[in-house]
Amino acid sequence: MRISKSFWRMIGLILTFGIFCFPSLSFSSSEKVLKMGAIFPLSGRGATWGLAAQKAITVKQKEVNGRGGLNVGGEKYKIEIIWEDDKYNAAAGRMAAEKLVNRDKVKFIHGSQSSAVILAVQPITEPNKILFLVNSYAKEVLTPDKPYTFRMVLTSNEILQGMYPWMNKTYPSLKNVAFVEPNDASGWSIEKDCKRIAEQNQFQVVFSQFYERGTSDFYPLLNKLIVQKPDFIDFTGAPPGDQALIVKQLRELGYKGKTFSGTTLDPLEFCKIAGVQNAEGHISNTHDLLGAYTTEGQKKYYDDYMAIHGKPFDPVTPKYHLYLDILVQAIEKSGSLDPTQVKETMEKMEEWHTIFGAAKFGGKEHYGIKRQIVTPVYISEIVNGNLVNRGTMLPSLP
Amino acid sequence: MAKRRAGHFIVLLAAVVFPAVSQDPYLLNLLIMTGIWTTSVWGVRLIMSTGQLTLGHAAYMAVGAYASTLLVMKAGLSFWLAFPLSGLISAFVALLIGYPTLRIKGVYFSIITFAFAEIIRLIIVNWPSLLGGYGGIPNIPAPQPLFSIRFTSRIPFYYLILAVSFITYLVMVRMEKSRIGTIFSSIRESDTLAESIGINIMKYKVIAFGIGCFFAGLSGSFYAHYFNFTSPEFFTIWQSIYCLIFVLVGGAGSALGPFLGSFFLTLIPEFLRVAREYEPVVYAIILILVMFLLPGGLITLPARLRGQKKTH
Amino acid sequence: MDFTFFVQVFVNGLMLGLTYVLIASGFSLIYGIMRLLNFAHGEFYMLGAFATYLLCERLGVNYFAAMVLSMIIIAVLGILVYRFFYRPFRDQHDPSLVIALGIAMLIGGLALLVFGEKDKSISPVFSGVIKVLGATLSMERIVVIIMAVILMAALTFYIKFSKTGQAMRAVAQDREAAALQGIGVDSTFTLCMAISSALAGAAGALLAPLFFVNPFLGMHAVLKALVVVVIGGLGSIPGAIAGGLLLGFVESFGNTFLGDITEILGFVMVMQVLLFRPQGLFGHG
Repeated sequence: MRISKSFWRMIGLILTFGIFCFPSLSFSSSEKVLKMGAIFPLSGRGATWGLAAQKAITVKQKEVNGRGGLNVGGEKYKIEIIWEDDKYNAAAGRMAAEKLVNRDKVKFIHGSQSSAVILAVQPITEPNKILFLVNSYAKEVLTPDKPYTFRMVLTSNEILQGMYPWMNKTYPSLKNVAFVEPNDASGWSIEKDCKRIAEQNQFQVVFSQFYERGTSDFYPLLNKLIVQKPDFIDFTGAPPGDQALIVKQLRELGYKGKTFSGTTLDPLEFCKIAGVQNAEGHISNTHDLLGAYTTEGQKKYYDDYMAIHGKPFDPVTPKYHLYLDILVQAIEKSGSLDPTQVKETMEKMEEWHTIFGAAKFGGKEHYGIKRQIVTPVYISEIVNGNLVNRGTMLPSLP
Repeated sequence: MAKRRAGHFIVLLAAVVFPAVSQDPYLLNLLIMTGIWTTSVWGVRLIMSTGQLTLGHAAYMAVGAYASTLLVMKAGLSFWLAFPLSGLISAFVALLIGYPTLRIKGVYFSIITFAFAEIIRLIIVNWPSLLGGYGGIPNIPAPQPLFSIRFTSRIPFYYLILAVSFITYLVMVRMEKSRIGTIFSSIRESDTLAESIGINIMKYKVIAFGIGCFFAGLSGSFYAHYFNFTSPEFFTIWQSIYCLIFVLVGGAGSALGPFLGSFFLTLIPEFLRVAREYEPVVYAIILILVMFLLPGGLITLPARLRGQKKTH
Repeated sequence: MDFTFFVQVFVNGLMLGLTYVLIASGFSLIYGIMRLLNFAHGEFYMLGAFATYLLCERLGVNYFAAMVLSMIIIAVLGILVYRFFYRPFRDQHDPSLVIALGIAMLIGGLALLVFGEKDKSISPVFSGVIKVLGATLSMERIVVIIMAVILMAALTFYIKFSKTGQAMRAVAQDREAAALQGIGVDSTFTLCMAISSALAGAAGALLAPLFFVNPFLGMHAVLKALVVVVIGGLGSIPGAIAGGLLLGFVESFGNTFLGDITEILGFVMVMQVLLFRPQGLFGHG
């Protein structure tokens, strides 16, 4: 009997799938290794942030492995990180988490800048008690029912809690503020923070509008904004290219007030797109590691970074150092590789020593659970195309 | 005919038996995702069988996902009631816009499906109080236990989507073989001719569109309760385009085509993890290669290999 | 809100509208003559911007020369894409659509691989602002407006009066009759593709110094082009001009007076047109 072609077709299908089923072979060695996962946007939109995180985490990884590895109760473990690309997309992030948790069996995951990715991944990490160290700006990421998630980077809430009081102190004559944000998840959550914190600091919000993602011509929006005569304009939620364009177009339209954003930027690119004269005086949350207010830890980070990655130095990276830095401290302090014990150590410790100096976790009041890292907020101004550090402020986050 | 049925039956058997062989949640997840897309994409194929190319299918998945989420979380319904209701709501929305737009043919119809998909997405994001806005809606509960089977592991989800896919398959095959299927084909081949022999083409186009979007709604509802999270970025124009790609790569000519397309195109990103930056390029190349070498889709591969040229 | 404010809103709308016209005209041309929705059109626009960026920033070529070169490069690319990818599916409606989508994805993906996702910019060619009736306009924008008008005039002139332009219109109206008259359909299509791509490249070249350049520009551009040509009428150049300007004004006034809801307006307009006058403002059924 001739076997039907459908039959062969199906066998072929099953075999293809079958090859895939075999778990990846791993070589055993005498060295003890701790595998961790990392889910970041490594390609496509958002790759700037993901790759920045990768660079910073790699600096710490090499430092720890250089001294023999993690010290866990007397035994040394080398750190191995499995990097997965979420492409800033929740479905892809979730599939990546599936692989890391169910295939690679990691117990610690460093994660994404996209709140959608984190929200899609948490239903996997929380029930499986996997420590998930995250970023993103959304408030819903940290809630009391998700004890295994810690946020390792400041959000707009904390950054602006540092920067707005500083604006009050430094520019007491400024009274009105206008907001421009993109119509997307981070734009929305950031605008809420901006409004609340601006009003807490006695500023009056005279204008707030969202623009369609992909817009490059902001004239219609800015035209209306300028008429409201704001003293300064805050566009924290906009991506860096848009920020530069907004600044350029504001100046073309004759706006003379201050421009401000609670994000880090790369001054070279920013000034290239906006124009050096237009960018003059722009305030941001970037820190020039070669300038004032720099700690010893940050100077060492700079040297390590240059040794590993070479020129040019990416000023966006330092804040991502905390991911692995704090995890390493927590594991070594708890003497265990069990995520639950590490989590408890992270809850209990009052202070951490980081490249930014002392840091702690806070946020019981704002988020309902103490899972948000609090580090000093840096403020700098663009002068003649260069960053000039203007100060630092530690936000309070009860 | 019997040969084809034998092949289909073997796939079903393998699918039913699979969890006995492996309970690896990673693999189960891949198969569940395949099931979700297969169910949805069968709807695309059904709509295409009347000659209409839909560019907005993901929007109807979104309607199903959000409807189900709200019915369970706000109205307190059981998932088992919300699930079929979501399909119906999706079909209803489809008919709302479908009715006036199905008059329109060819490329204009495709554009309008696309425009409406964007409008649905924009409605979702501009109604944050009800629909969660850009941030989406987290903490969607899993389906309530059915006959004391609790949905805490992957396996119940797997069998559920398998059952749903199978039912969808049966519906599709039945329709194809019946009088309705013949009418759909006649409308696709030449609607003026069909009309001239008294067929009410509007009525049948509406039926196809409604049923197609019903299945989109079902798959969207499952998606939401499986991911425990729904967000407008799950249902963008790109997702609609992928739905189309899944059908065309698998082969629109056969009922099994959407399954093949969903299966392979769910697997490929997993294989491409090592070369993640190349993924968009590889997808594009696959699509182009299929259009050139296998215009009937993957389903025609064995026939092609044996030297028969299939025209689509 | 005084007179100068309204003038500014109007001028903003004009600028935005002409941007859309530049991008949409080539898209409309291809549909009109080849009956193909060329989704890759947005990617040609993006590549035109990149070509200009590379020529100006990496090779130090003069901006205007770079623009002309970019137009030529993209035109050649358009011809190649037509010859190898579009022609085999010339009369198949659904496959053409899919192939166009595939090419769009391919070009976008390759651009991302080659250029990376960071925004790039071109050093300003014209600086300074001037005031027109109280409304502010940067010199860069004035140049874009002037060039857009010149290009559209040239295109309209060409289609109406030149021999090959008339051949194109003949092919658009009735392909068989045109072929019977000895007009080479394939060569007409090739020429059409070349012109359309050159227009996309020109749009990219013109707008690149104003904004920034990254591989994601294409998707946004082709979506806008789709909205414009649906409103104006698929296949009509006056339609693309009218549709583009209309969309520009709607968005300018919308963003100024209605706020965030503006994003949805474009698509609502598309729906209205498709439901009540599917051929668009200037199209022919």
